Amino acid sequence: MNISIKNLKKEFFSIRGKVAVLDGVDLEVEEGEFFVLLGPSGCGKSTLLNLIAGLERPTSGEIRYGGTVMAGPGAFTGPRGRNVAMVFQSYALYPHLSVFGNVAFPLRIAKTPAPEIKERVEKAAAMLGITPLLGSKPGELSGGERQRVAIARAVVRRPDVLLFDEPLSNLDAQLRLATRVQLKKLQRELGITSIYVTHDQVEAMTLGDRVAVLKGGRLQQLDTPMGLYERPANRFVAQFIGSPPMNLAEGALEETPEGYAASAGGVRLALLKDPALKAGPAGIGIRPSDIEVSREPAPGALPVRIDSAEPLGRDILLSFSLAGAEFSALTADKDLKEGASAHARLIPEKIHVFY
Amino acid sequence: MKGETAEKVFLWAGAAGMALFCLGPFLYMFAVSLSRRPDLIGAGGFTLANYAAVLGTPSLHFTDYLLNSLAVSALSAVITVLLASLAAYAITRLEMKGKAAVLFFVLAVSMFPQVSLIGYLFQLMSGLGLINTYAALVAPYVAWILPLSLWILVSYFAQIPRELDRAALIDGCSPLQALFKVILPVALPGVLSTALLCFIFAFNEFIFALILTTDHAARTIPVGIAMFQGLHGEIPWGNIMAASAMTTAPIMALTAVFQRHIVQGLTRGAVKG
Repeated sequence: MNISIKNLKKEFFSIRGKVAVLDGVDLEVEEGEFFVLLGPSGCGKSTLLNLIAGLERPTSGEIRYGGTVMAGPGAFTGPRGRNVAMVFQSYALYPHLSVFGNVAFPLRIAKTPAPEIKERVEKAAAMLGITPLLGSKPGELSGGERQRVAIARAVVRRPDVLLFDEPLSNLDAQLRLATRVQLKKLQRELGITSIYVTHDQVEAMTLGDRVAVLKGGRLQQLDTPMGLYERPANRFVAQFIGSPPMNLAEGALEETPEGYAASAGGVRLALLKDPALKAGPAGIGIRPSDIEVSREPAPGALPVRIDSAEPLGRDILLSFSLAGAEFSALTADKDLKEGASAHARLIPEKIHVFY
Repeated sequence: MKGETAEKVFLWAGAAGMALFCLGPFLYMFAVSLSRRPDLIGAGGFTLANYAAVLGTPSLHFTDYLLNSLAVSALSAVITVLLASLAAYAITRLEMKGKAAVLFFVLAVSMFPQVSLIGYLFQLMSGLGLINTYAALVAPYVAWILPLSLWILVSYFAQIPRELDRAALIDGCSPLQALFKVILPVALPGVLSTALLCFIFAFNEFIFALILTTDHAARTIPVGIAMFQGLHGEIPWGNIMAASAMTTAPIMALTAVFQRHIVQGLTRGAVKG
């Protein structure tokens, strides 16, 4: 089922007055795609998911499921009519029902015949490895087990759309990693269109076929994970995606006979040859891995003083100030210590310019 | 060491004094009900004759009163909890303006002294021809107990995570199904203890029952016992106490069994909301 969203707006009324949580979002989710909504808290991603589920009504705009208008001017279908399933951050298992009862719940509401319920619940349980838990109550399960029950409950009814609301946030780091891999595999096997909300950019990058970055109720960029990383559309996406985050210095591009000179804080950082650029004030960005730091002077390298050196294992994260901004860079050179003088070269081809 | 001993002594003395103060009337009730001579406890020995008399004298209508009480209280409790559940669900879950106003208005209604309503209620029930029926009692009881049950249930429902009913809606429930298949079962301890409280309130009620009933067709046990009369106008203390003891016993048993839930329900209603 493909989902298309047009100019979707959602306003809430609070004590502070009218708050626009979503301010005109357009996007298309393809059939069978693993689609991720990524953004900091308060960006409207959960509201967008609730609107897609039908738990809330949009203020204006349109949501279509494969051509059928589910929400729009004069039309609204609740979650009952959408055949969606959802996995919640808090699992939201029914505490008074057994694991079997939980997984069977959507089928019972749909008045599925009992033998079919049994068969489908057992199949879903086997798929998620919770067969031995079917007789237990949710209160007796660990966090990871509960999450797998919640996923089983979501997939058992063969929904057209699977929605995930930060489902891994309550798990510890190791379990989160394992569940992430499982989840991706499961989605591939089932081929159900999935929309996944998270604030964790690593989760977004690893799970998503495509990722939509939201901030302040607006879509910032919609691209594949590598596209977001390699071609961030603006300063926010540039610094939100990637760890450690991209360095950003506010400066300007100046046209010279040799090309465009990128400078900030009175320091010329690099010479850019791309003819698509234009002169004027600009943010100059570069990823920490795209800065070469050496102890010896090199052509195009700028002298810096290392403020701190944090070993990350394979690499060392250096930080220094340059052109009026704090920069960080990754190096493998273990002799670059705090207080040392060094030379940093920003690889010109790897520089991102934001107007 | 000495301070601790003194502390213990005071603690026990205080607790014993309190227990005696509260339970004294009950002890007195049982003692009198078992005495051969009610005006002189223990004189003339103990007997079960009072109990036999109460149960064995058809003109006293003890069993009629007791059955009336049980029926009226049970009906009131069930209807109240059903209405209060629907209202509490709307207040805690649905988009609705002026939720706080509703809660406070309901509270204000419950502040009316019963006595100020009784004259009008009698007129109303006479006009409707309901005097001396269960309906005459159940209707005012529901109105009277509803505010308290609503407040208790609102605080119970507010503690159930919203994601649970969102999950129910996603799983295909209508809002009413979400209430009956998820919220109420999850809140069952609270709902049961609220129902029990309602039952006890209705069971103990006196004024409404006194004015709105005329005989054993609808009269409840508290009024019935108060109207026991012996021959020649004497007050039959032995019978009254025996009947009271038999009436108190089931309530005490219920309370003892559900004690923990009731305390939780009461304090929840009191502290939260």
